[in-house]
Amino acid sequence: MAPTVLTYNQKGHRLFLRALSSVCFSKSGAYYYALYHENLSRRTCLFLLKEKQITDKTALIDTIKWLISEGKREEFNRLRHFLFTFSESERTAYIQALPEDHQSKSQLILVDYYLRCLPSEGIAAHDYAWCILLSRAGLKLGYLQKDQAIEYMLSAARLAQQAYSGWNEYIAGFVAGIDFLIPDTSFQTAKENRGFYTKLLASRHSPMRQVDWNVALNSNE
Amino acid sequence: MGVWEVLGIEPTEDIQSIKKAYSKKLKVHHPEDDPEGYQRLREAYDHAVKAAKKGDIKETGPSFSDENNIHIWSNPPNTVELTVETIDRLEVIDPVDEFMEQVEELYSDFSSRIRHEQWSKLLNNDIVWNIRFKEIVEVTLLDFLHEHRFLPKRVWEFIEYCFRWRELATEDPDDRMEHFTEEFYHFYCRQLDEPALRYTFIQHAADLDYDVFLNKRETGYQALKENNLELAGQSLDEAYAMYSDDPDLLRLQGEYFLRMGEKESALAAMEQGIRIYPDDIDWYLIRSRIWYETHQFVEAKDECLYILSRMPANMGTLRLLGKCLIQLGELEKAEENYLKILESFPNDIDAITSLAHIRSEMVERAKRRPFFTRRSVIKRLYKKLGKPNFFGSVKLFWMQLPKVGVVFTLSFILFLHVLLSNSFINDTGLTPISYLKNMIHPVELSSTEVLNQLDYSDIAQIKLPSVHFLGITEYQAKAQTGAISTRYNSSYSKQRNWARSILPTGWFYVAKIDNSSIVLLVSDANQAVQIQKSNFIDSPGTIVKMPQELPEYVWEVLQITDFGSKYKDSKFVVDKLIVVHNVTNEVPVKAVIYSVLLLVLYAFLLRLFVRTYKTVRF
Repeated sequence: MAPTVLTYNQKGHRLFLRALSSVCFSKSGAYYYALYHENLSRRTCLFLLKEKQITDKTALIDTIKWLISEGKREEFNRLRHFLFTFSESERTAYIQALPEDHQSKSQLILVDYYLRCLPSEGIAAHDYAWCILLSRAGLKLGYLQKDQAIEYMLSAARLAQQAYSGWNEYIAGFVAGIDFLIPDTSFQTAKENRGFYTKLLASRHSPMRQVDWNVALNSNE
Repeated sequence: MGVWEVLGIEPTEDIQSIKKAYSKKLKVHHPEDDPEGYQRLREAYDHAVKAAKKGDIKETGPSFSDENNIHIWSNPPNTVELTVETIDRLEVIDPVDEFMEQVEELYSDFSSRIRHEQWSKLLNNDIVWNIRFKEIVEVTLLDFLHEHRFLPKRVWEFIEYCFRWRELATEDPDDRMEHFTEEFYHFYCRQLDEPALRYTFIQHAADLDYDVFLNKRETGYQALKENNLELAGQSLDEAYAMYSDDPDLLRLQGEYFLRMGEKESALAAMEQGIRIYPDDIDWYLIRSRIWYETHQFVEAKDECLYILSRMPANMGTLRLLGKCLIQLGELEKAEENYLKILESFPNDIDAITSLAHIRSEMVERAKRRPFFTRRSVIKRLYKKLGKPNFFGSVKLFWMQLPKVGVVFTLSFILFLHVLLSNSFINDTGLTPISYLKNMIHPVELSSTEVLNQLDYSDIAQIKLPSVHFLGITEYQAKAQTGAISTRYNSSYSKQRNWARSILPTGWFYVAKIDNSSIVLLVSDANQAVQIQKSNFIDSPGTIVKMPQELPEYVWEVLQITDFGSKYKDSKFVVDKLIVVHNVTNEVPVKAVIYSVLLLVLYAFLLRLFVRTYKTVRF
């Protein structure tokens, strides 16, 4: 149920949103950004939008709405439903027998790899994390009004909360999303950012340790 | 004669009917025996299919002369010849019909139909490989399979091996696709490419209309692949109502119920499956998922252990077991389990994040231990979590520090310090440090003893009630080389009074402290005027070395002036000179601005360091 009043200013909400979008960063400076990305510079915001091939306000709003309603998880879930219909032995044999030049072979390998690891929403964490980060960038660049940006961010946060059971599952969903989109069957993202993800989950000062996964996101709760 | 007459049917949009007619006529107009008739038939067939696809069967199309058709349709003028030819045709027709009768017979017997050896035997029949009959056999068989399609995967593979339909359709789609309906072509490809459902479990079902059941099961299977849950549910339910002991159907139902969130129904389907065919691992895989999702962690764990006893390297089950162990609080076992996963898959994100979660939980547990035992445990756990030691932390701090920001801020701070210092010296004659030193520990120059204790560059508060202007002034000139030369002018001396209409840079005074005479230099004109009027000094001053030639000037003045007599009995301090500074109570605006800017920059620098520190600490 949507809240009647936006309550972004509550400390718990700010921390929760910061923790959700913290996973979007990677490599050496990732943890620094994870802690302090609430107020990104204009230059960084423009860079983020460019990375996502977003050139103007309309494209940004379309992308954010698409990430909330559909996202890349649709394609992942389509393959997931397809593979889940097969028996265990048939599924393995089917993927192994696919020719190397099959257009979806890598994606099928990845979906199979994450099949029993992720909840039914699959890689939705990737969509929601980017939705929040892009909303921040849009707010900073003046493409979005504050209320509008907060509404998008809280919508994504609520969906993420429903889709996953905790922070570790959320990170796994996000990384699976990156692997699926590349697609990368050598799992380099997890390899390169192992320390970062561990610290996000284990450090006392990490935003993920400062806010409970089940924090109430509605104003009347 | 029109295309429909050649085919021997009424105009129709039903492609299947056109195909049937074509294959029937093909037996009469074989390409080798009757190339013209075959050509005519082929053209008629192509035209009819195109017209049917367009939905325009009234289109006239090519017409064929009766003369060309004489061997087929009209009453033959030469009865004997025609009879001979008809007999020949009958000889040709028989093997194809006979073959198709065998196909139909095989298909109608379900137990035989599902045995690929039977099809292998049948399709190795000479007629299939005979060049004369091959096309007739293919078209007729394909037509038959459009309506009778429920065969095991191995049979389809053998059919493709014999006829290479897909291979040829890929090479020349326009030609080959005419024989396939689009729907059947996709069905055919799916049978070859994707896992298929099993047939063996339904062969003993009594009074089952196999094709109706299999059609419903297949529809449900495809709908489930596409996540069309409404169609899947309906088809699987209908199939289940016909026959409830098919393991594949039960597995599909279990998957359907799971997607619908109907976990109890899913569990019931799995348990029924286990009763029918306990060897299938899928029952246990799905049941472990259901138990975990319904928070029956003990049952889920036991199920996982059973699966792993049969499939030790099953990743999905290892992961689920880990999750169950976490939920049951068996953190050590869970850790061991995830480490096992990492041995096989070092970059498994589920294992990485779960281990981080487990170990941070262990840290929280360890904190509840007695003080003396917890320290080493926590230290060991943090090490496992990747917490660096002191040197590692320093290295990490350096790596994380935003160096460009720090260098830029430090440069600006240094620049502001220079500006502030210059501004302060200009305003007060004191450096900021000297000023602060005098403020914190003020030294009053009240006696000779204090004067003797003061060293060069020291600052003291000069508070002297009676001072006299010596008439000596200082002039500083800058040479072309940039060097500054200092000269003194004494207005009481004839030889040393050389300056005319030039503003001096300093005025010298003399004052008595106890029984010593000390020379003071005032650099500010206003202050000098003020002192001259009041004969009183109350300002900070710095002790500096007396310029070498100055004592002579002073001595001369004291000798020739009236006030000099007051200093005759005193001891003249020749090595120290006091430079008096003009410190007013007015706020030095520039210095304040620079100070505020400096404070902001220092705060910014501190913030950078604190932020970096926070990223390093664990």
